[in-house]
Amino acid sequence: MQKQLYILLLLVPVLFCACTDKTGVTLPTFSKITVTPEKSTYAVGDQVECSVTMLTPGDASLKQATYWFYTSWWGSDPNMTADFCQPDTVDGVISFTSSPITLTEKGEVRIYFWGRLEYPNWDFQPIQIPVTLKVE
Amino acid sequence: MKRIFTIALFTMLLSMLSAQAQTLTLNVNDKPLRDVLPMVEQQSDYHFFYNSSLAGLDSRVTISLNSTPIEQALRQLFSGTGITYRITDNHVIVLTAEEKKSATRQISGTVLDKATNEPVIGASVIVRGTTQGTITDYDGQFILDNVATGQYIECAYLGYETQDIRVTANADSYKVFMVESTAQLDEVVVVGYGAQKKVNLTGAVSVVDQKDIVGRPTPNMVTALQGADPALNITMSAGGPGASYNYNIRGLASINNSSTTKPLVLVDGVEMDLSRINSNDIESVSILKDASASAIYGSKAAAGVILVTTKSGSEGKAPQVTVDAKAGWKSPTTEHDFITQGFWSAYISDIFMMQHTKTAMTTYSDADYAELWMRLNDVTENPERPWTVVQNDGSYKYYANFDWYDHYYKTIRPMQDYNVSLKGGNEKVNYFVSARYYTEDGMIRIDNDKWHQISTRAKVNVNIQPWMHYGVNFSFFSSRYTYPGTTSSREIFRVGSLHAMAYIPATNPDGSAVYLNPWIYSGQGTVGDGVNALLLYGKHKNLNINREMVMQHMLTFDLAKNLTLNADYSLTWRMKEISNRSVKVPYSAKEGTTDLIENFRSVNSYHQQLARYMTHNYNVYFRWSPTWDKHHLTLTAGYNGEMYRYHSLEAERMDLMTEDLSSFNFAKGEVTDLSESIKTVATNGFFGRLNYDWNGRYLFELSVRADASSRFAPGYRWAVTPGGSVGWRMSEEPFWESIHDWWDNAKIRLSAGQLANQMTGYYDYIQSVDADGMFTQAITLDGATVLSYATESDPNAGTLTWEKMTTYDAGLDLGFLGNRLSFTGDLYIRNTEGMLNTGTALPSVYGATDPKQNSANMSTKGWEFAITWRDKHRVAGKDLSYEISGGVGNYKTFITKYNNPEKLLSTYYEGQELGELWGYEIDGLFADQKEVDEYLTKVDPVNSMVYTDIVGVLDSKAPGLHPGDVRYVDLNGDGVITSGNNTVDNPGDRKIIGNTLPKYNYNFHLSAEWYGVDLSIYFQGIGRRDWYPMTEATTFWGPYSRPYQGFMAKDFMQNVWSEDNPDAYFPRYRAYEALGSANSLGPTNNRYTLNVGYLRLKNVTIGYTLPCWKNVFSDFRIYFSAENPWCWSGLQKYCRSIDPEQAVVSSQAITYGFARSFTFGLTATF
Repeated sequence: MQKQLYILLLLVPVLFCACTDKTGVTLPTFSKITVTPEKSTYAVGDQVECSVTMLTPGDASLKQATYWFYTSWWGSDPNMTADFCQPDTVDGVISFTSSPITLTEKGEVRIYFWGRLEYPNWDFQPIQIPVTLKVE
Repeated sequence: MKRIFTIALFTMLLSMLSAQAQTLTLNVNDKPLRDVLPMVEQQSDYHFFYNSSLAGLDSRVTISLNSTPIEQALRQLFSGTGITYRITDNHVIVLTAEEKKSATRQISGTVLDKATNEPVIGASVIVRGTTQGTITDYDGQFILDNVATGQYIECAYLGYETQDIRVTANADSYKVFMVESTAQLDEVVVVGYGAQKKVNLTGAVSVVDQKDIVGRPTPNMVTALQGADPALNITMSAGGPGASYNYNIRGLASINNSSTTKPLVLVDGVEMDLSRINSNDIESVSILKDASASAIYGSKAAAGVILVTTKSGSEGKAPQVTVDAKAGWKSPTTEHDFITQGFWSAYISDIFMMQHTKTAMTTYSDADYAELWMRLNDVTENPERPWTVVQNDGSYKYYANFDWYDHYYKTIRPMQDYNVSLKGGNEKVNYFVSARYYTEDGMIRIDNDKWHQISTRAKVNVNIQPWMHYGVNFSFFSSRYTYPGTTSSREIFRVGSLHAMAYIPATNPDGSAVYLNPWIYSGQGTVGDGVNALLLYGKHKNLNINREMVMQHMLTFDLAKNLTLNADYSLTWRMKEISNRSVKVPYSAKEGTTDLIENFRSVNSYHQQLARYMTHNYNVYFRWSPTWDKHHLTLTAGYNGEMYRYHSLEAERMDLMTEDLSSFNFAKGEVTDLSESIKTVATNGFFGRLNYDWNGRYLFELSVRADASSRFAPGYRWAVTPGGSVGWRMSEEPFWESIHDWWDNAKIRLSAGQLANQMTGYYDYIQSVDADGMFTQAITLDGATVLSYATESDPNAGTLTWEKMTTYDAGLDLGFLGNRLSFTGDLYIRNTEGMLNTGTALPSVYGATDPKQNSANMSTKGWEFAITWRDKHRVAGKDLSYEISGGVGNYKTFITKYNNPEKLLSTYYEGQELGELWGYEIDGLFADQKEVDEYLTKVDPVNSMVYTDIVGVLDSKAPGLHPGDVRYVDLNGDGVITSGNNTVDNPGDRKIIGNTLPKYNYNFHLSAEWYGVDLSIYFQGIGRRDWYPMTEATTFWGPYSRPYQGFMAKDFMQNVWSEDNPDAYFPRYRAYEALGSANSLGPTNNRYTLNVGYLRLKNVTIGYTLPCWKNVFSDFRIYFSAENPWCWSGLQKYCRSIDPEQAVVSSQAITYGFARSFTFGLTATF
């Protein structure tokens, strides 16, 4: 009896989840950020370029997408803004490449690839891919 | 040792021989055993030793003994009494209860009404101390198995005293005679200038059980009374502490809904405000609903009377102290799951604004939006992505995810309530003294508002002589409310959320307040219109103090048998003090700089108002209550006089030199206000009432009152208002006897009465001169001194007189099954005549406003009923008593006469139902361009008022009708959507789409008590009430009203139309569409008219009376009580942040939030 009760209790949240009307959308998938030139350690003043490749396109209902690169040290700098990028399609492969980024701070710095994907009915989905660089 | 043993043995033998030798001679016929025992003691050396409460001592014995040996005599004497005995110490006979025999048997019996000898059907018959029981059948008979001699059978039935019988050895059949409970028959109800037996009432009077009020976690009686009777409509103006309220009995008594047309509230005969009454002091509440019941109170009772009687001391009672303490918390009744993500708040306001004027609300670029997007899920600031970025010029740019609701308001706020009372008395003096302290934190989080309240009451009655009684009743109330912000705390709720968007934080990194910012709406946006900065600065201080003292002296003389003379005098003194300190408020828009807000909320000034109210009230009346055989008469007649004086002094002065002290001594600038107001009014009234009943069967009441009021000109001051009612208790007729065993009570009531209402101002019949006028600075004679001037008011009609209200009521009171099931219902008509309104239109050459006249009439028709089932059952050896009750009422009011021959809809008109809502019809949203085009072939939107903004704003991104816009129906087929001539005959494309008055006011209540556990569940609601959210209902409309409205539900956009969401509730997104009557959502229409009827779990209380510590406490109860814990309303489908009661406060629904409370408490009596 006790066992059946436990099973029933476990089933309740499952049933609730099954009843939800949130369908969700399939998001596109992306590769990791490729940093060029690729180094284990960078120096202050080095310039790098980042790129990301779309692996799968995701749900076709996508209405609009905006992509950009961003670094952790731009946040408090009023002169630095998001580095918007447009997709490049070569042989059917879609990729996104950043503008040259100059490393200005020592330590572990992060570079992000961001995306804002707009689906129907105000369903906005984020894409966030980080990479950490070591700068000495 | 051996010697001692021998002597003891010898003595014992002697005594045994002595016992054997004694004999008894007795002749007793049907006497209690208790009385026989002394006879035995007289004839013998024996003495009985027993507990006087021993069961069986009252058994009646018949015995005849002639020189019978004592042992044999005792056996005979105690046989069948359930008592056994043993002889000890030679001459001591110890009596004890006979041990239960293991043998049980079946017994049977009949339960009969002692008065009528009729069987009592459905009575519960239980073997005491067991769960074994049954109920009597149609013949009042019962059978119980396995009952042993000596056990007790308990017979109970509602309306009767519980009877016990003991099962004896020699009887297997019993007759039980039930006696009607006098408590129920004699239940009295307080009525005007006296009390009447409830069964003899002929007027429409309902009684609120004190159990439904006392102990509720409410600051006062107002909310406790809400829904207590279907005829009583109470609407709170706000949810905050000390909020005012509106109330009526059976709907509005007059279209002039001033304080004079509210029901009269009398506490122990003295007029008081419900909000200043400690509900723990309440003994009973009577609601006099019809004119015949209220007539004796005359002019102030036109809208009905609420009679509150407070507790008194008790004769012959030792001092009894009751302590009640509870503490808990309050929280909002609504959800506040608003958007707190900066991205969404900026995005929504921008897309709405862009559709309106092509210009975004914010000045944010795509890069800024990227900044907001990256912070989307940052609940707190991430060092990599700060919420505030200082620009090169020092200005701040904001990318916050700020929770403004949480910043402004507390969702959990503590409250405490302590009550102590003392009562007692003897045959000469009895007394009741109580005191209360109540405090709660307000919901304004910054510079938290606080409410403190104390009240005390002392009531002493002295029997000076057997024929002379004196009573004094003193009460004192004091409340103190401190709050921040401007003079009205509602300001914070009204403007606090404007421009308070989630992407803007409340403070800059240096702690300075955010107010004006160039990144908001091109620098025009002022966060919270300055309220945020003002609260953060914390120097605005407001104080509201209310104090009220009531002293009442009463004398009663018993002049002769059934004749009393009563005289009382009461003095009510009230003081109100309001003080408001305002200072200049700083903010910062650039790092390292501080500016001062330049608006009316940021000035150095001090304002104070002191008001005194004094009322003298006196009553002298006699009551004569003779009885001849079956004729009962009560004659009450007397005089009532009242004098009232109001005196207010108000001043305001600028340039307050200090930010920390509130005093005129520190204000040295211009005196912007110095005004005084004095008002007096006096009334005199003579009243009389005659009550007659024959054998409690035919009931008759006649009352009359003559009132004079100083509000009217001489010659128009007096009003005579009669009232009468008859009642017939059919159930007392002989022909009722055959059904009396299941149908206990049936009474028909009919009443008619007239009441008068002094609804005018204090001096409306006098033309006045206002000498307070001041010209502007430009008008002087000497170039310096500004001239003052006086104005004469428009001529008044000197013939103004009383409004008259005539009420007809038919009522039915029924009781079934021992009055366990009861019903009371009423149908009524109330005609109000002579309501004050603008009189006959005079030619324009008259040159002044047309004087008012008593020229409007209206009629209200309604009904109400209440059903109660109360019973008691034996469950697990304990009584389970429970009660289920419910009531519902409704009314309709129509204007029957009004000086509006054109039937303009802008005012009242003949035939109008009060509260009716006129509006346009929307049959949906345009699904696509094809539907728009088709509509345009039939309707010209350019000349349609409702589309003016959509088609007319030249800067609009896309002017004209589009898919997603609302489609108004051209009801009159004239090709345009207009309001016509705004008359009933030509309302344009409008029709009646609802009614704003509450319909079907209902309640139901369940209470139960068992094993010391008590439970009370109380629901209250309104069946229907239509509400159209008007322009500033920003919480409902969100950006459709103002695109910079900060409080927007997280799922708001799910209800907004788009091609992906064609079935949405709201139309295509576009700012300001709800803000004006020229916009598509501004005019009242059926699509967005909401039913704000609701079902509210008003109170649930569960308590447990501890069975321990009985040597210290006579009663010790712990309890949990929740007020307003749950509510359902159709409004919640589209807006969960507005309480349905809050919605009807105003069409804007902006007010101090309504609250639910949860408290734990204990009550100890010792």
